[in-house]
Amino acid sequence: MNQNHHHQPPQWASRLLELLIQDVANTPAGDYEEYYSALVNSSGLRAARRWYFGQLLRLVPERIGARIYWNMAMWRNYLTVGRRNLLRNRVSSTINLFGLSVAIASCIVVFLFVKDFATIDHFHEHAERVFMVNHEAEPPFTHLSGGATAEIGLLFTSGRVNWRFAEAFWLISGPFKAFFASFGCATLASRA
Amino acid sequence: MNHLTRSEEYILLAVWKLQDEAYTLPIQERLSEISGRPWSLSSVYAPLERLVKRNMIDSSLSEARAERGGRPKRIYKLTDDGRQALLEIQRVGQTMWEGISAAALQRGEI
Repeated sequence: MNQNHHHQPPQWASRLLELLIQDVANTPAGDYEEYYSALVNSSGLRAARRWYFGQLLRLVPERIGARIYWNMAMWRNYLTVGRRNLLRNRVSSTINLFGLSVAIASCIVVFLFVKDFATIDHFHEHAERVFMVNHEAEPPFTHLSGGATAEIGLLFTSGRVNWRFAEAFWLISGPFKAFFASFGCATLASRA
Repeated sequence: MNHLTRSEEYILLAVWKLQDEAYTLPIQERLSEISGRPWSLSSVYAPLERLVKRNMIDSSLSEARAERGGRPKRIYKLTDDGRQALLEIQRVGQTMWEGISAAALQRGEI
């Protein structure tokens, strides 16, 4: 190694290197600095700088990987601690979990009711007889789904669909239309 | 015992040879010089780290040094395990080479 002169890499670069390497005593950063100085003496400033910056760039993926790895380790530890705490205080964790589930469930139910009320205009004269009719088509015609055509309205006015049945279905399903529909319960249109 | 890789073996030998001067740069320099091919710094760090993990070498910090930007050196030293491993490698190597002549190898016939 050529010992004639000492050269230092730029301050910001060596700080960055320390950050990227994260060694307890910063010994690798010291090695890099010595190597840099020797490179300047043997092959010139440009080559030395190019080597040093190349090293900086190369360290980035490793740092990202390490960040991901240690984050995962941290979250795994949180989960372990949480599970152990739950198991240690079984009674209180059961009560807590049960209470939280009921609270969230009731929030969802309230939300569904409010959304249902807010979806329909109540200012019409016969508001209680105004229905939202959804039309769902079977596979080859699925592009027709989602809207309601005048023909479907005609089914009601022509008397081929029982108003009473529609009202009853509305009462039962109410805010849970989507829920019933998801179990394949007939929508009004397909009943018709 | 798990086998040591060739680079681990060379590094153990270099650490032993360099004694109190055994930190990464002289090790790398020595390896590059003897093998005739440049060894990068990381090709020295990685096996060193593995050897430390396998308890074959120990490390200690020197005092802070100006030519390193006020940072210390990490000086490596063989442990008893490391010395035993080297002895084992030497024994196996010598036995394997027994009765093999370099001249015959060169000619390509026994």
